[in-house]
Amino acid sequence: MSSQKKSLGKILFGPILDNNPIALQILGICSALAVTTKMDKSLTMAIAVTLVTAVSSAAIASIRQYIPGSIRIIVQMTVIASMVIVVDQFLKAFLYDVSKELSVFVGLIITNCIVMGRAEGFAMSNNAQDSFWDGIGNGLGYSLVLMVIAVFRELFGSWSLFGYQLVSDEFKREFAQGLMLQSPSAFFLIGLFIWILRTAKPAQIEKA
Amino acid sequence: MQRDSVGYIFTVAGAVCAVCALLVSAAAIGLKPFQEYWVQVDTQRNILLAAAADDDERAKFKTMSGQEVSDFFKQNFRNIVIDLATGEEVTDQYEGRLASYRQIEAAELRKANQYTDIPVESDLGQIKRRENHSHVYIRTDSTVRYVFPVRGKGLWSTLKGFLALQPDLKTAAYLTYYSHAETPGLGGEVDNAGWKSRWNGKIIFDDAGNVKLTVVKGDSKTESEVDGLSGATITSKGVENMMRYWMGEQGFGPYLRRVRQEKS
Repeated sequence: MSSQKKSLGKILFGPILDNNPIALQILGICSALAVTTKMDKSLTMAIAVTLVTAVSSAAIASIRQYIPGSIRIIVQMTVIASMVIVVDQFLKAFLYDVSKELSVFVGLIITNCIVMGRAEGFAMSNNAQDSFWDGIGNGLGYSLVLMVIAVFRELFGSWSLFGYQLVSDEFKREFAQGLMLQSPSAFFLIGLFIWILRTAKPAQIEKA
Repeated sequence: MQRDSVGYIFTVAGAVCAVCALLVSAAAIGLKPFQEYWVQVDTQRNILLAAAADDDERAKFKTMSGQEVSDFFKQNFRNIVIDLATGEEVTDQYEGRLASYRQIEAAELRKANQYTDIPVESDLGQIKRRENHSHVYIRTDSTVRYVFPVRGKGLWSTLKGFLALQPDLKTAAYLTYYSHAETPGLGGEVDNAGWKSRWNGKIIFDDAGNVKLTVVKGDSKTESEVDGLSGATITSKGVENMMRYWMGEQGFGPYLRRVRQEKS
């Protein structure tokens, strides 16, 4: 293959901080805004995206020699969409309450740019095994951002973590930050996250 | 075959579709029993919420596990099916398939001999078709409640929910919707716990058995008036019409009359 061989560690852990799909590649922001009001929702979403990215990348990589160039995006979409439906069916069968809250956003994993991005950018030119780990790695990078944002939003928005309320009702009424439950707060938090990450790793700063 | 030939492209596309379709159908069919279990628990939980004695018990029902909900429902509820036109109980026709009888599907999917077209002039809920047989859930422990499935059009969507009546079958206890798509913050406030609690004690019928409950603008003055939702006139009107339809002669009227007679 054309790209040089990368070590497993780099494929798996690179996307978490060095090449984070949300913070550096700025992919998949839409769902990061939508599902991060609660930690259990975010965790389910994170696992779902990680699984879909890994399995669909592996599937696409293993048939990449047979995919005609002219319809490659359509083939990728078909594989990804099928995976998403399967994951959605599993959620409905075993995590009904969470799946009800996530509602359309599970289906919208299909349009999550991370999944497409990895399929087109990595899986089409690497073998199945590396693509699988690349998918897991990017999923973990996405999960990290999602969970960090969800901690802040759930903590300051509802004063609870994973649904367990940490303070008295009076305190909650007095100090709950409604803004944190609105989508714009996730923009601020992602912005802060990117700021901190780029201060720590100046190599990620784009040249003006 | 050439890699970019039309024939090759169609072959690959067809093969990918076939494999994906197989995978998706296998998942959908294989997982169906589990999904249906949860749908059933969800319905039962909503019935429990409608039939709760007070807000404390309601909070308890909300956090129960699926198994606890099923058990509580099995022990404390009687699920019957009635013929809406006559008010007679027809539960024995549904032996073995009581829980799987979906009355809304019977009407919406036009299942043969299971629905009736509603004449336009009496279609208060704007639902066009009504099922012939409906579930009624009766809570039989220390808190007796009659829970009726109701539905009707609001502003954007059909609101589907459960209305719980007190044992006198004249007074409301609670109204809860499990499915609607009204505007959040306006019509969507039908989900507001404070508003739902106001239904408790509202008298739905006059002495002759006609529906006299209304949803009014501003403050309700009598015990047969419910405060409308501010900024949601059409949703409020929809709720009122749905009550008039389902509590009236076209809906559960005949059944209610029958049970009241038996009681007196």
